[in-house]
Amino acid sequence: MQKYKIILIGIITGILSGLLGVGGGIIMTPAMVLLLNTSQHKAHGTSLFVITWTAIIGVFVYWIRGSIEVNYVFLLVFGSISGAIIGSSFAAKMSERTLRLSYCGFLIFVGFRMIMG
Amino acid sequence: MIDLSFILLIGLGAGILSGLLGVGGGTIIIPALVLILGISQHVAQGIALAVIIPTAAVGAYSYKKRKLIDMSIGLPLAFGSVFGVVFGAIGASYVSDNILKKLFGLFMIVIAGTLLRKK
Repeated sequence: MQKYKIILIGIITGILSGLLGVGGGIIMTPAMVLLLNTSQHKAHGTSLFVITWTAIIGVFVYWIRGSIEVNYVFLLVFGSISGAIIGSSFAAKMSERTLRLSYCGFLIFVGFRMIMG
Repeated sequence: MIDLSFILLIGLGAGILSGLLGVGGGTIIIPALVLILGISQHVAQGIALAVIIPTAAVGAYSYKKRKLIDMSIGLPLAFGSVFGVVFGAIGASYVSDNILKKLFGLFMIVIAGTLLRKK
């Protein structure tokens, strides 16, 4: 029974991931913590494992459908890996709450622009 | 040339934020490509998904070394998710660019809602 529940969470996450081009961690991590009683850390690690495989298959489908620009991918990967190193070394020095609230402000502002635009 | 350094900058911003908050870079990369560079929503989503692969793989590797991946959950979850992503990605190609953009905007607002509710 538990196995089917996990597979169902996976299917829902996967559909959203393919439809919107996102990893799906935002669904999986809380689902694991709340429905399967996984610890926050393990849920995070497990979701990264799942995202890796989901994104590989998703990219393959997008590639077949002609929606990949390789040049952009290399530049963005280079930028985001450097950024992640910078970000994690500053993480301890910044207030998590302020950061989270500014990110929410950004999401709401840009989200509305995408809906209206 | 301006485009190239700008794309690098978008990546840097997305990386810094995911390093700081542990959230995916897709919510930064996709709107930046679409709203500022005028790339289509479909292509932006394909690009973002490709950028996620190395980032998530590196993260997963470091969690694996610390034994923080639960395979009894991870395997069935990946099984379902790999199955679902094929349908989602094929489905996306049947949705118009404009509708997909609006759906993505809605998704961003929903994420903001869930983050705001967190203590």
